[in-house]
Amino acid sequence: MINLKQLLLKLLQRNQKIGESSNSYLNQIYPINSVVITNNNNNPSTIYGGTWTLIHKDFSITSWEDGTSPASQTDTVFTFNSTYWTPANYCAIIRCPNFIMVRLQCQNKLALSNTNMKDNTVQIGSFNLSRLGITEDGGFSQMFVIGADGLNMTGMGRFRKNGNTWDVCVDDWVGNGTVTAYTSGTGSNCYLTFYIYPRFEYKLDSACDKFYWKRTA
Amino acid sequence: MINLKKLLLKLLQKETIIGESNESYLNLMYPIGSEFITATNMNPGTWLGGTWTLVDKQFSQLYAASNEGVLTGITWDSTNVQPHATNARNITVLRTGHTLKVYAVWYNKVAIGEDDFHCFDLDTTAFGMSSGRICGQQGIEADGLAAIGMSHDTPAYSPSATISCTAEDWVTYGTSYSANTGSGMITSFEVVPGSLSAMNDSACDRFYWKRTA
Repeated sequence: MINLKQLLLKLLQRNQKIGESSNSYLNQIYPINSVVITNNNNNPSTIYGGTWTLIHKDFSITSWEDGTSPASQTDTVFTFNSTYWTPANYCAIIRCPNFIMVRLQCQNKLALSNTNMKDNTVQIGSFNLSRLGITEDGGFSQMFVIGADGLNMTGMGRFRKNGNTWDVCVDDWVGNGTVTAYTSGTGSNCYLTFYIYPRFEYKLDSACDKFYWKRTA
Repeated sequence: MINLKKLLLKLLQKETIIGESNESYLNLMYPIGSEFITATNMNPGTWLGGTWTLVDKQFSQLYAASNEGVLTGITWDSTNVQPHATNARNITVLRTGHTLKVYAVWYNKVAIGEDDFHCFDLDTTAFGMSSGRICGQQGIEADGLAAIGMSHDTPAYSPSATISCTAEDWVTYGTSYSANTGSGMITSFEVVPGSLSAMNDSACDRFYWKRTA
């Protein structure tokens, strides 16, 4: 067990930062395998000494959300593909410490069928990655379900990296075969929700407020 | 950023008030209710004093991608799924926070449409989780049709080390999904542990300790 008072006195008498001349003080407060959190990407070694490795980052919490004016239009975080879709009245993107929740609503211009929309040929839209707080690399593909108004048809889509952009695409639609309401230009509402989980090294420092450092030496 | 020198000065200036006991300094630096994070399962009480309880831990990040469909911990169903030589298979697993995130692509070998269409098994122990459950399932999509729902049936209704990716039912749009048509199939889902104890210490890099006394 350390004697904290003696430790503090020694530190002040030497008028030096912990670890500058000896790791003994550092070892008593932050032994190897301790973790400290900083609110920017400043290595703790500049203050404490020792060797520290960044092991994780957390996003700062923020959101782009508007019930009447889609975030995609006012904030350019997400841009709908206007060839195929009309942005509807809801678009929400909420960035949490370890994931980004995306909730989109749009209206079809093409018929919602597996003839018109399949194999990722129809892009719903794309993200502005830097606004989202992630880099160009490190996309992690994910499937999601698209519900169409009335639930007579359901689609599945894919969120994936496509060159230098991250696209949200339609993979396929399935339905009961007799649906007639989802023809071209009917403006049926479509809903989709999915989560983005970027690896921490692909989170922009400017979008993070917690940096986890592990002392390795 | 902490200004440690100022903190130390304040601690010493309060010496006359708080006395000289080690516990008093500990109470100033880490009062009851404080949290301390370690990268391994080492209790801060061993060097700081006080009583500390483990309240959370998180996985170290692991990104594993298959090489020609082969990934330790993944066993494809050779009856239902085509071998890599016929059509590409790919699977990636991202371990982060408290979960495994799985994304897989493969091709059918037998006709699609039957209930309980088993695709592959995931062994959670290969990724540092002694048992888990599927959540956040997004269905299994085959080219032109969709399966809604996946089963977790080994055993049913309790966490398991074997996560079964199985299409429970299919909603059919086309008719071209007979055996060996090589229709592309795809899914993504998450696996979560049932408790902290299901997360192996060796697979974690953040242990959160709360001072309780």
